[in-house]
Amino acid sequence: MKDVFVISEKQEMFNLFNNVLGRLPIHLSWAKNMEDALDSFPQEKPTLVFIVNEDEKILIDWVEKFNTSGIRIPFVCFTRPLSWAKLKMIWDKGAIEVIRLPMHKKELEFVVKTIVSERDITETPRDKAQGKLDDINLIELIQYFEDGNKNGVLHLMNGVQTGYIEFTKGKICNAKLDEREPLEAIEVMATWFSGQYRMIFEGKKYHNQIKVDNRQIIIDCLNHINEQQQLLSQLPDKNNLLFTNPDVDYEESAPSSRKILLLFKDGLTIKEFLNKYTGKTNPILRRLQKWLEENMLLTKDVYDKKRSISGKMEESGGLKKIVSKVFSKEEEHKSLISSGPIEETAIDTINKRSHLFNDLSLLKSFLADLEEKV
Amino acid sequence: MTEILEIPVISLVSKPESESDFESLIKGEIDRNYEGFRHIEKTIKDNKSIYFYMLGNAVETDDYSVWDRIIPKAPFCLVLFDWDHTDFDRIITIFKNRYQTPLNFITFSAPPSSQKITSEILKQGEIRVIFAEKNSEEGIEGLLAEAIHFSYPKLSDGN
Repeated sequence: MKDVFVISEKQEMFNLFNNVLGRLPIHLSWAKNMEDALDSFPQEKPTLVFIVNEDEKILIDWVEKFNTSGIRIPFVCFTRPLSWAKLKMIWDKGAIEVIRLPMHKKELEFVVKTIVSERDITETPRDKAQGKLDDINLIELIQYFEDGNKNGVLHLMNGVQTGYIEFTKGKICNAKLDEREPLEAIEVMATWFSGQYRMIFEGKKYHNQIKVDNRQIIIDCLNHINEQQQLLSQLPDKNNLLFTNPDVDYEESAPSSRKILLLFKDGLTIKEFLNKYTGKTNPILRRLQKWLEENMLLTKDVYDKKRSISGKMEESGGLKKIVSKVFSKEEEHKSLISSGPIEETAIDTINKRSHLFNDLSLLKSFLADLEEKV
Repeated sequence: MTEILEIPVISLVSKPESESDFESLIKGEIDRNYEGFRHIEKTIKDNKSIYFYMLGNAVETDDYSVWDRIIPKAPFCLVLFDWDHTDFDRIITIFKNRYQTPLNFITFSAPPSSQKITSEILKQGEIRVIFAEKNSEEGIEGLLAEAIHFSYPKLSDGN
């Protein structure tokens, strides 16, 4: 017997579902608002919830209360016809489906039976839930799996990137994001504060590829997030456009640098960049910081100013040669900073890192042990 | 208290087996993967360990943060190389312009004919190379002792 909980201000809706689902092995319960329903859930233990309200504001309010209660039961919403944006918003909050009302009784019967039977026929413990990473972060999702001792897969999406984490009895077993090592994949995904998640709970156990326990993984993730927040705080606002300095010679840049600098050529925000970038985030943020200090990347106002100066230079006939001569020295200096590794070495030579090791007694004692072993 | 010797290792190999041969020579007890490097720990005695830092290619990523933290504090840096590595000269030049830490070059293969050597530095034959043997009985201990002698000749004189 499946337990379906109907939350509706009108009892007629509950009666309607009773008629429609009467022939199925389903037990229906009813509450007239979300508060009453949340109180009843511990006793009723429903496997599916129908949230019904023609007023979209009340419906969304109920869905939010349902989500913040921490109860994770699949739910379907029934409301009046909504715009695409509103529908998407409710789906993003985790609804399995949003059914428009009013609906012909026969049609409603068909739709509801399809939803219920889909979940009934597969009597396995399989279940799923989804939502936005803007509302809940990876650490909370990991804790959710852990607290419930759940087996399953947590899929995460952020921009063009998609990854997943596998759990057995709430313990993280494996993770995948591009070609990254599992632990690094989790650290990177923990920094996704926008995008989508989808949890699929399954009965099967996953092969354990990760020896570290969840607590250590969460600590590592928090350290990684802190480091990233610190780096982001030192950069311009992540919604501001940044441009590659027009003087940068792309051909002379190292291939990996060139690829990134080209992305900023026509302007890109750090947020957009992080959605596109599939490599390690913290090193690349450090590199952006360095490029901003070296004026290889420019904020929009500086970039616009530079473009207007360049435009005037091109237009000015007689002065052009003199001005370009002056600027060529500046460019020469910049190319030294911005170009590829061979030029880079010229600067590095000046800032050569001293050799700091001086513990010769330690080395001597190791040498004795090594030679003894040989 | 455990005494620790930290050895950074830069890999300039073209054959993946060179790296695996080196790792099997180390016979490390702990192998952890971090952002930008791998950490392999080998115990020499109860209270003595060597930490090998298998560094990622900072020249390629243009991110020297890990190299800058590890290399200056190490007694020397090991360069594991194959004779036909195409970027050998560029990376070694950058290293020498950036750090004063001594380098020790290790390879598992005998030098081929000079036509097959892509590196001008290696062709000139001015660098001392430590030749490693796969499954050598001396293991990594012999190589490290040789590297210490190369970089700190005075230690061998008892000074």
